[in-house]
Amino acid sequence: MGMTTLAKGEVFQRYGVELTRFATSLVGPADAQDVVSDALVAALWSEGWGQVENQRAYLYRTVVSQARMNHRSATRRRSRERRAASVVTAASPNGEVDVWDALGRLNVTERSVVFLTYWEDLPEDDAAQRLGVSERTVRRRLSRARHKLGRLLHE
Amino acid sequence: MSSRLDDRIRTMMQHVVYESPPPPDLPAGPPPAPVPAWRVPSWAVALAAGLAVFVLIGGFAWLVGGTGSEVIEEPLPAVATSTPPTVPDATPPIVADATPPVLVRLTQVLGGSVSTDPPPTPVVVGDTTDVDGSEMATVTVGGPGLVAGGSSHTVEVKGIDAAVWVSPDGRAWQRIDDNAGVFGDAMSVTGAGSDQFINDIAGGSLGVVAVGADGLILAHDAAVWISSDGLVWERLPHDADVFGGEGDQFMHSVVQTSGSVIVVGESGGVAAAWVSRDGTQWARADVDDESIRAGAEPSVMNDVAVAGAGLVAVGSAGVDLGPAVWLSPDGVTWERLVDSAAGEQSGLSTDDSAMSPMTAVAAGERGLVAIGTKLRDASSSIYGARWTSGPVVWTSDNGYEWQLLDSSFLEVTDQQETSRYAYLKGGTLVLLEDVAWDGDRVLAIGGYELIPSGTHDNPGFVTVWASMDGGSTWQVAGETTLPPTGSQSRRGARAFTRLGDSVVLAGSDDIPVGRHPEHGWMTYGSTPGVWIANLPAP
Repeated sequence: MGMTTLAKGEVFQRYGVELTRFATSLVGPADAQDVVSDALVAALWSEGWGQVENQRAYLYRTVVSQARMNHRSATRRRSRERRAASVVTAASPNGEVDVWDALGRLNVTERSVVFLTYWEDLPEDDAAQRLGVSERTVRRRLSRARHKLGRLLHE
Repeated sequence: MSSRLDDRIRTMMQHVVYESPPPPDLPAGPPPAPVPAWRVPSWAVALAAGLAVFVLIGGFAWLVGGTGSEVIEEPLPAVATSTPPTVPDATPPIVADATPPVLVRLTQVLGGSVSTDPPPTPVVVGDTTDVDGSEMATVTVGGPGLVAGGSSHTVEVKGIDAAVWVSPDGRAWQRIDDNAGVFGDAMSVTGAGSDQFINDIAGGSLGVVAVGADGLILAHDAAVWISSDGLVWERLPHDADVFGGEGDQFMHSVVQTSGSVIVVGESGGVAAAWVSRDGTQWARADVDDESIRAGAEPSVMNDVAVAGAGLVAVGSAGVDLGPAVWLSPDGVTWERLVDSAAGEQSGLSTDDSAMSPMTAVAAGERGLVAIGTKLRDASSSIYGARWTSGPVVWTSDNGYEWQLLDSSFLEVTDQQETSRYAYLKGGTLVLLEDVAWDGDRVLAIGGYELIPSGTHDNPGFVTVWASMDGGSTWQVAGETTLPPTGSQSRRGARAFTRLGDSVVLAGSDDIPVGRHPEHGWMTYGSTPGVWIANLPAP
């Protein structure tokens, strides 16, 4: 099923907020805007953007890709570790566990599945489509993420 | 039915969204995409090379100003346009009258002295199209002298390409032209837009072997490139049974022994290893690990070293990123070192060792030294630092019993100590990236970074530490000067090797490359960074 091709400004207006929220769950608030900005540039100005059928899913995957680059590159790596060292102010609402510390235990792919499942309330098939992976992959990553978080939360 | 765990995770995600910043401004789009050199006419390449030399000279001048370090005022030699590439001369031509503002510097000599001069002001030019995002991840002796590997990408959405640079002396560097397409998408099983990157290179009797990965998001496969001379490269054909698998396969480190090439990394989120007898035919090694069999614990091998008649690999295991060591007699079978039920303790882990992955390991006649970074350290300082992530060192005489040293062993120089005042209420982050024996001493490299509060800026020093007692205590053997406040210049050395009386460090710099022509915001790019420390062999 195709989607109406939106102008760049319309795409930004429609998806900017949710993409930034998604990016925040992947890389934290400090780098979320940079990741989304890079993702928008990469996606909206790509040669194939006009042929993209599901623009929303494409943008989500691009954000994941940018978050992975953020994760991998040497400089970003130091930034990530710096964030790990400076999350003292990011306490959870109930004070029991540091949210960013908990998310830091997950890799980017696990974080993306957790966000789509627990914030977007997407079923596995929709999350799989959004990320361009199989439902089995979503289930496995969600299981691993729940296992890690369960240990951290002592559940 | 929602469990209590699900409810708590949902609450966490609500908090994440609450912390989410507003969306960024709508980008105005990238500058005109740079065209890869191998696709442009030779006259254009020659022109670009000339401009690059022009720019580099000025970059040296920018760095020379106000610093106490000796800077090599040598331009980058011209880019080769044909295969095989031309090896740069040890003494590249000097380009006269290089007067324009310049941003890029490639080589800086580290000295032990500390500059007190005010830092230079970064110069900004408007055009960013000639700067990409290149990073060196590794450097080794081989080919024409030194061979460095890493990756390169541009703002266009065509993925990352692997990259190799060569140098006869560590001072003049040249990137290998990818005329045959072996470093890009042409050899990729996942096609256009995929990423290729080199994580490590090893030279030896089987030639020069580079390892890394190739693929798309969430589905990278391991990748191997080989060369007889470091100049002409080929990519090994993809073998899904060996290089593929569920999830990501990353090759992180490679060593050559007499007649074998051994690689360690990760596959599907757990530690993995590969072995070859000739560099061209590869097989997966048998990594025996209880946690891997259970399928519940992530693990990764980050580095490997030849230790006596066997091999040792280091990395992390568990959701707490605890330190982990694997041992192998031949590279074919690996066994993870764990505390035995009989009470034999490896010494790797302590109650305080969580979030301390092992990054690199070096083996010498006097034993093993491994390095890592403790990612969470609650200690504060009298300067008001909120958090300090500290380096961690492990030493071992035999590979089975390890001693863990905390971060107090590192010397802090006056420059580092003084600079912390300028970043009150920030923090510091000392990252050790690579380690190697150098005769009777051990050298380690990394960065001493400052974490200002409330900004994204974390300038720091590229630093070389030396230990004369097998890793117990360390002194600074060389460091860069502090970049300008607010410049966001991030210097990161990832690997080093000895060449003659020098130690050559390879990594990358994040530097300001220009302002957006319409919106005026600063654009940053990363360039290959090479530093040279004048440290004669002991």
